[in-house]
Amino acid sequence: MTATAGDYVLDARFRHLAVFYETGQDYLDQVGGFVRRGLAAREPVLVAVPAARLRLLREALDGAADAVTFIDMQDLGRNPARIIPAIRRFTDGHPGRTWFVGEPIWAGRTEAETREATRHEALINAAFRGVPTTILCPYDRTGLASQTLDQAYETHPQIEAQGQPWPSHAYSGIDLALAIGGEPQPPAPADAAVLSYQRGNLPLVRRFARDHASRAGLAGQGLDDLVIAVHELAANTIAHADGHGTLRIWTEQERLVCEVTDTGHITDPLAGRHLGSRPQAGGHGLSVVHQVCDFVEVRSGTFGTNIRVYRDLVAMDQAAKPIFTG
Amino acid sequence: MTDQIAEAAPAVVVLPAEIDVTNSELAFGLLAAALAPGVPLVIADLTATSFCDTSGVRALVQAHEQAGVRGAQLRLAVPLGGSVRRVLELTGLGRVLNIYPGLDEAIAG
Repeated sequence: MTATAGDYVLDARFRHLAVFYETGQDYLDQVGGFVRRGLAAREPVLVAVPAARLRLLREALDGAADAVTFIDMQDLGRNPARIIPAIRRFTDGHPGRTWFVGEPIWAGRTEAETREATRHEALINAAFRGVPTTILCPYDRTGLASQTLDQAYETHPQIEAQGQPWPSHAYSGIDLALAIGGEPQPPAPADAAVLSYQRGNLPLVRRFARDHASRAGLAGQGLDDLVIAVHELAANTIAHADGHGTLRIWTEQERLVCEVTDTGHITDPLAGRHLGSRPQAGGHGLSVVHQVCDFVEVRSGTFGTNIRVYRDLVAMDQAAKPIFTG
Repeated sequence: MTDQIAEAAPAVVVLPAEIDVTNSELAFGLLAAALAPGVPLVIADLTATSFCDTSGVRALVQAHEQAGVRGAQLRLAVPLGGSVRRVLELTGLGRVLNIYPGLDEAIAG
């Protein structure tokens, strides 16, 4: 039997759809149409898309735009691991049905960023199970690589076309996230600064991180943040692995990279993404790391755990924004 | 109630210069010990603490909850602008704690 539009609902409460667009008008019709449906239902709408698309939508929605919450995805999704906690805060703040437009992948993102954003897309399927929200993710059919477009069919249970949901037969739940997270990293550069640490060495880890980061040009809160992040990663080694780890620090393309390797195994694919409006829940270490780092790659498997955090060395006076404000 | 707290001598607990996963239980132990019966107010003095990680913040929250159970109050003295404030902010847990910028402010309430 051929599936027909609208009758394929995996989760009556939670919906996660990809939509493919080509032109600006196409974007306004499809994404703008989705936003208007949310507004017509008098339900809260959050839109997180790249700045240029955001302006386009805001203008087209005209007066109705006031009822929509807009976030620049190039800011929020710089580190894609920050997006789920942000949506979570929105859904937790509005107990009824909510609507969310999230565009974490745009033309020009690096391969590594697209990989982490794809991982985020897959993890949405686990993070919002049972939550009454409809999430629409626009994909730029002309600007993105064909592999990226193909993967959207894997990470989304449904595809939106002509304003109707259709099943995605390639949907694979969080499998892509697990595959990306389980893939070992290429080795760190041979000239990286190396520190082997164990329980009792955490002050040394902090000093080592501070010295190297400050030599690379970080200062003030940016420097404090980097030390906090590296410390939390090393503290996880002490708490969850066999207590021995290796810290490597190097710079590449105007970024500072810190890598922590240990024998631990992170089994929760959503680790570090749970925190929304419920700060009492555990897992603060990785959540803090995601907030203060511009980009993070968490890899864990039979090879152990390898986490790389990146801080931009340009525009470093801009402190990372915490999740919890107000 | 505020007057009673002001009249009773608060117990001030000076916390270590650095609090992390290796001594956060100790920090909790110091605060829990100070929360003796009849002590209405305990002040955790972090004015000389330059670093406190997420396990340290969790210890402070635990002590805060313990104080609540015993009908007492826990106040933290944490200078503005440092790394400790930053971790309180990033974890979101600062919002559930009573935080003052200095020891005098914490005592005055």
